[in-house]
Amino acid sequence: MISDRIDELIALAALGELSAQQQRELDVAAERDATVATELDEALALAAAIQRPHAEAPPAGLRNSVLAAVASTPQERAIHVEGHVASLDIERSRRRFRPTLFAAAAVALFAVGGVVLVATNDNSSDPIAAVIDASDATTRSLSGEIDELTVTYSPSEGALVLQGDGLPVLDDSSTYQLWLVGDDGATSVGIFRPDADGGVVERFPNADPTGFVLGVTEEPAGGSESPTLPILASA
Amino acid sequence: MQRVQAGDNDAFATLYDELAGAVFGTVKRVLRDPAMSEEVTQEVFVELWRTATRFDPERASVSTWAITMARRRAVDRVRREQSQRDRIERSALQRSPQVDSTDDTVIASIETERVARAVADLPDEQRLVIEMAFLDGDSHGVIAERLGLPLGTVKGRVRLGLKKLSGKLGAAP
Repeated sequence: MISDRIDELIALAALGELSAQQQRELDVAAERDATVATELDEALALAAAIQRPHAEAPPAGLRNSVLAAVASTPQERAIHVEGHVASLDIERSRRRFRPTLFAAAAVALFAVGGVVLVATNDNSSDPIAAVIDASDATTRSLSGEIDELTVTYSPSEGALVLQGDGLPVLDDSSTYQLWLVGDDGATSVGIFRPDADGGVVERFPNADPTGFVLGVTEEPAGGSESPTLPILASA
Repeated sequence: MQRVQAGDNDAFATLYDELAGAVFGTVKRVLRDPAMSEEVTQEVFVELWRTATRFDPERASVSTWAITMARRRAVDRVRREQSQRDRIERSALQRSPQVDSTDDTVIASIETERVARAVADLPDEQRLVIEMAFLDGDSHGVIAERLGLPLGTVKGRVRLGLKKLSGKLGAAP
């Protein structure tokens, strides 16, 4: 039996109107309950079937433009495990919100929708994971106008990692900037821009937030020497 | 699709030829604006390429995957435009004429007929929201406003309509 809430999320998924938070909620429900996964897949297939026949030929020049863009775009890497294919970047996006999953085991297995994902805990080549999985890592959640940002700091790594989802995407004229705010004023940690989906995972070296308030502002491209109000998120 | 997942650019060109009409049509129904639709269509195909390794054939067909992504991307663009500046008066824009793809296969034609018939057989209140959402490209917020219904009612009718279509058409058509 599917709850009214899941029915609502499936409707929004078919409409393409899920927020990042709702998407995660539905993903979790689909992972836990095969009926939810099946009903979601059916709803998406039906929505596509209704829309598919009403195709419209795109401008002829778009083909070359797309193929040129694709030629210079790397694909997410796939790993092959006993006949299954998984994307490392899926693991990375999961890790944003479940860092502890990666902390304990040298090798962890997740079964997700019939696909087996294998994650190794060898962080030697992954500076993001090195911070998140460090035994001394601590995480703070920022709140404010942007409410899905976390900052994880590892003293042994001497770096912090900013992670977030669902951030408003900025045009080229502006950027986000992370600050450490103390009694003596604000010090810039660095600037960052979300990807096209509003996600961000950024490592900032040589930044110790201990004893400081963390703040995020929107600044002109390239960043500012001092923060421009309002503070969009802080912790 | 396996060749695309393996990074084969030629295979992706073939995939583009097969899906471009459906993706562009889906995006344009939501956005209306041809230039913006072209831009978002390119974003969709680049994302299809970049995330090809995530595609799971046991969960969806390639076209379902692409159309779902196209719809989501188009909705995201509308939200972004609306949040950044109020320059798009969507309700004032005329609906663009929908032109059927010239290369629909016989199978697609049969499917089209089946789906259209099943949609037409839905109770009026569900048929209307399904048509507004998926044929006119309206968001559930726009549908609610135009029909004077609560948002929850629109979502409920979309869900119920899809469930009834599932019953009429069987699982994934």
